[in-house]
Amino acid sequence: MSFQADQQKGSESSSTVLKIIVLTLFAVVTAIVAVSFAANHMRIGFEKEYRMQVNLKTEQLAAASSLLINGDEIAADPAKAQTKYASILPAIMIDSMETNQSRKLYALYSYSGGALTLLLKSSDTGLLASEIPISGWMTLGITNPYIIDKNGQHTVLTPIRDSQNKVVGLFELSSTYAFLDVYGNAVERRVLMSVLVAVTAGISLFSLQYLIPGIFRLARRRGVRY
Amino acid sequence: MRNFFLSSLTTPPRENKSLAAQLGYCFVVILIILIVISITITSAYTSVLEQDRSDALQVTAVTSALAISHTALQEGMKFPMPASTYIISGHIYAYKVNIYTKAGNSFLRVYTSTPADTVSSNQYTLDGAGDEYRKAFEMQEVVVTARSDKTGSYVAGVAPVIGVEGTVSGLVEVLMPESDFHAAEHGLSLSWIFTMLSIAVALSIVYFEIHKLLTIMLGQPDRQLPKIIRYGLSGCQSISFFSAMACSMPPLVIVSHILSASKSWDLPSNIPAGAVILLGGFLFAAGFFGFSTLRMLFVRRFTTRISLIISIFAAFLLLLVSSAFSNTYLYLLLLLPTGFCLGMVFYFQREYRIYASRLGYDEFSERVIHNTQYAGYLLGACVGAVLSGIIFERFGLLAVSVICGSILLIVGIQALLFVQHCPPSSSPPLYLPNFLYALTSKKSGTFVWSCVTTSGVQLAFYFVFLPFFLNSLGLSLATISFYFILFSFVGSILVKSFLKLFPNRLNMQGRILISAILQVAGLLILSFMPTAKTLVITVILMGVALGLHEFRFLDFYKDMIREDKQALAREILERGFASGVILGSAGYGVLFLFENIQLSLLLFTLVMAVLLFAYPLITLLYTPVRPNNPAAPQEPSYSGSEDPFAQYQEVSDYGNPPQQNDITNPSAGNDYQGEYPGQETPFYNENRIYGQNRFNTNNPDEREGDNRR
Repeated sequence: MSFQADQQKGSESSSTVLKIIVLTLFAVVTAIVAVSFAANHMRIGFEKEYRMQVNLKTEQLAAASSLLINGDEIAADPAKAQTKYASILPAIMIDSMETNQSRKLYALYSYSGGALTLLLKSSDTGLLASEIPISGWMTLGITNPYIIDKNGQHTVLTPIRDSQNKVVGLFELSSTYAFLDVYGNAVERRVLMSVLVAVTAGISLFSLQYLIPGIFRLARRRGVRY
Repeated sequence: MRNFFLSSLTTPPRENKSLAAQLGYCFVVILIILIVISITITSAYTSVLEQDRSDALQVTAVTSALAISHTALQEGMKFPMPASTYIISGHIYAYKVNIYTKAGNSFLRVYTSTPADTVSSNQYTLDGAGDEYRKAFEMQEVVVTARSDKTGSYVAGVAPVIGVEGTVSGLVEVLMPESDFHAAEHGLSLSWIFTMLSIAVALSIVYFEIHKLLTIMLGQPDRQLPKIIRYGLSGCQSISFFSAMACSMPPLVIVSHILSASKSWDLPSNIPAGAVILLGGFLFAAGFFGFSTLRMLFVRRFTTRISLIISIFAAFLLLLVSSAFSNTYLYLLLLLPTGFCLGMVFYFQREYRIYASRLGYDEFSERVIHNTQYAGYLLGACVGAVLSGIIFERFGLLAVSVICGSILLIVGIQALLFVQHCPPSSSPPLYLPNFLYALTSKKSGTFVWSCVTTSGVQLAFYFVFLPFFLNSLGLSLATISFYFILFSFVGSILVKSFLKLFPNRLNMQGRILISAILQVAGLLILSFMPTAKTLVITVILMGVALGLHEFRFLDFYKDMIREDKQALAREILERGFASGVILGSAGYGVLFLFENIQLSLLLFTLVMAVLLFAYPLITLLYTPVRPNNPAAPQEPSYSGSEDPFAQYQEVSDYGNPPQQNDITNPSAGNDYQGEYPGQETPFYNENRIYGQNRFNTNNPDEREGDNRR
């Protein structure tokens, strides 16, 4: 009889242990999945908001820059224009350092005879105007800028006109989002690590209510024995 | 007090107390973690947005200063640049631009972009500006700083203006309200807080259900009971929960998947995404709720349990194939068979309900089992919505399919373990002409399409309309769970508590009328103001409306129709409901083909109002003739009527609990219909009269409870 009772007790305690393990694992996994989702959901939303903000800023800055660049100067003496705008454009762009989140790529081209000639550029990579056949677009007389949005980069091509309203140049301005991926991954990783620690600590704290009575009981038994 | 502390320290919580502590802890910890990480991420990204806004203020100030450089700064001057703008929460606003010249120790404004406040009529000197303005002027620097005046607090980008002489002649100030500068659209919004709450609730529910599942599996069943009910209502509820959790996931992600396919140009641009969603929703609903004859054949050919297992494996395979190949046409094509296989899981539970309720145990009456299963379905759908939202958004469709298939496998194991014997029901087949004939009946037919079919339409509201609507509002798919939880709480807790507090106050006709009014009101409010906040009111009203019937439709309908047709009653109502879901999924899908959701929803509401008020109007038009003896009808005089679906329809108090003297001669139509002809009725079946207990009590709760002594 006592053997059966012991066996039943053993089976019950192993069931309890199994239940605790399954439930603990489940709690940890679901908490991490939920947090991963929340972090990712918020990240996607913020990145979308940031891109919209940066795109609008880039388009407005490109339009303002094309107004400030004198087309007659480019048409008359491209070399002189190159020297002049090499000092003005960095001042307009404020901070285009590679490490800066608001990094901007820009280039100024002169346009004559259906061909673009590079006057100045801020970077050796990432400039698209020379790779795209935009000659037809530039001669159409369209006032809207040419926008390319791909590979994590928003590029705005704005034609520069002279006083005769003839296209004499092209200003290219791009904003990159490379920073966003790095930043987002870092934020998500840190958040997940914090959650892992918090959940582990939480479960340890929760289990105290089951451990402390056991310790008290042991202490009492010892008190009785001695 | 000391003893209380000591006892709580020396005695660990056990059983229900322990479970409650675990659930409470699970809910609180998940909610706190979610709130903390939301705040952390919001502040991290807000700083990024602020840095970009600061950059935008600087470049706007510099370009403005350059545009007016080498010109005279004087009152009445024109600003040569077009107004610059910024975007906050999807709305575009113009910066406020001011130009100042140095005037003694201060700055005098000579231009402002604000139209109402002109420089010539009201001279304005720059007060409240800090040293940054002086620094910008003297050191020729571009600065971003905060400034307040009587019109409000601003963040300003300030740049020096080079005058005619080549020296600094003034300042350009570009202003943005401080609230806009610190704003973040995707921060801690009300909808996100609700989403987090529903995630915490849903995960606590899953925890509870897994705890229950483990307890049942590791515990001992009552071997005195027949095999099918050996694991009790807990086992039945557990199967319902996990099956609803799995089956709610694929339909909920249809909208998001098709919309993302449309955005990534997987669909031709001339096909609107709304049309594809309409087709997808319709196909899934048709597969899930249609083909009842095929299901019946399937179950009779393979037995209920084997057909369930086959369906589960087939569904898993179909889900994997449809999600592994990122082809929208294949996905659409497989929605119908996937729906059919998932529908088999619910068909199995129907067979379980019918068989278990025939065994004669009052605690396993059909309504009790149905209510238990319904509770499981609601909880499962709430959790399924959260899981599908989380997993789809984070890991994609394939992960949803894998999780859904894994949960289906759990359902299969549960079915094999908990339901060890479940012969298929042998109810007579319902052919389409019979069904259509049943619908044409004046009262009973109207009842079917006015009350039952519309309930099906409202199911489509939750699985077709809500995902699309929330997506159009830019909310996460997981947010849908909040509405499901709200619906469940109102329909299953509030309404039930109310009906228990005030029993016998509402007869079935009253319930139907109130339900119709609430449903129409809910839809009408939403059509006037289609927002996420209004949707809360709509869902509450619908929760009350759909919680009122308490699965009494079958009994009510059986009382309406002729005795020889009562064997078909269940099939008629089931098909009516299924038709409602299929039509509803098409109807709600059509709404999104139009640009103006308000107008299309209003038209849909009008159609629904006509359908919903048809039965109450019919009952009003054909005012019942109250017989002198309230115990009637003892001998229903339907012999003169040609309509088999019209019988006791003239009696006013159908749907009310019967009076004491009514029960002395119960309707023969409620007798056991012999759905299991070869089965021996259990010897302990003292309750041979369907829907009535052996104590002839008036209390429906006592009737449904455990009164086996």
